Amino acid sequence: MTNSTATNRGVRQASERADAKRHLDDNGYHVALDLLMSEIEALFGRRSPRLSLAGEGMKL
Amino acid sequence: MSTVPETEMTIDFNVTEVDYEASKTRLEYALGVFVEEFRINSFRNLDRVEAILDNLGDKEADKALINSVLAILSNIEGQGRSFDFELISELGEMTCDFLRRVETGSEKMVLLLRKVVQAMRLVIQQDVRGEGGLTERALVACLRDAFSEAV
Repeated sequence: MTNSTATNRGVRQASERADAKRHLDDNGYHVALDLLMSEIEALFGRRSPRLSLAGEGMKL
Repeated sequence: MSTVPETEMTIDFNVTEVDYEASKTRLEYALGVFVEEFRINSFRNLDRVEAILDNLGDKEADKALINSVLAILSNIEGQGRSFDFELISELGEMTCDFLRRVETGSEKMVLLLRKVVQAMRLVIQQDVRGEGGLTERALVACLRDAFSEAV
């Protein structure tokens, strides 16, 4: 195996690990953003329906 | 007299084969290093913004502090665009536009800015490139409304 092939494989594996981790964290991320938006709206006494919980946010 | 500067660099014109795959890997690696640096610097800068927000409220000093936050966020906005963190740039730009219109801090404004910092952290942490999806567009709309009400 050449150095270049080994490097490519290392980069690909690191990228796959990062993708897997990101996917696992997706729900938490969307819920956190949703919560943040609710808090921002609460600052101004507003509340509008959120798309994220019903849509892409909840990948169960 | 020649205007070409003397250089010690030599170029091997006899190279017949270019390893494009290896070059691509090296370029991707270099870009990854720059992006990681952007992330680290952004988190550090957002820490600085939060430290400044802790001191907002003294009316005489407010404009100077607001300008400091503006400078830091402008920096993040510019760098974000360079690395395809378009959403971060958009959030930074909106916040900077807002800060240019305010003279003094208020409790509500500080709270709102803290939420912006939290949102930016989340987006960078999640490595959201481009403009983001539905949730991110909802966030932008939510902040746009909040900024127009807060001025």
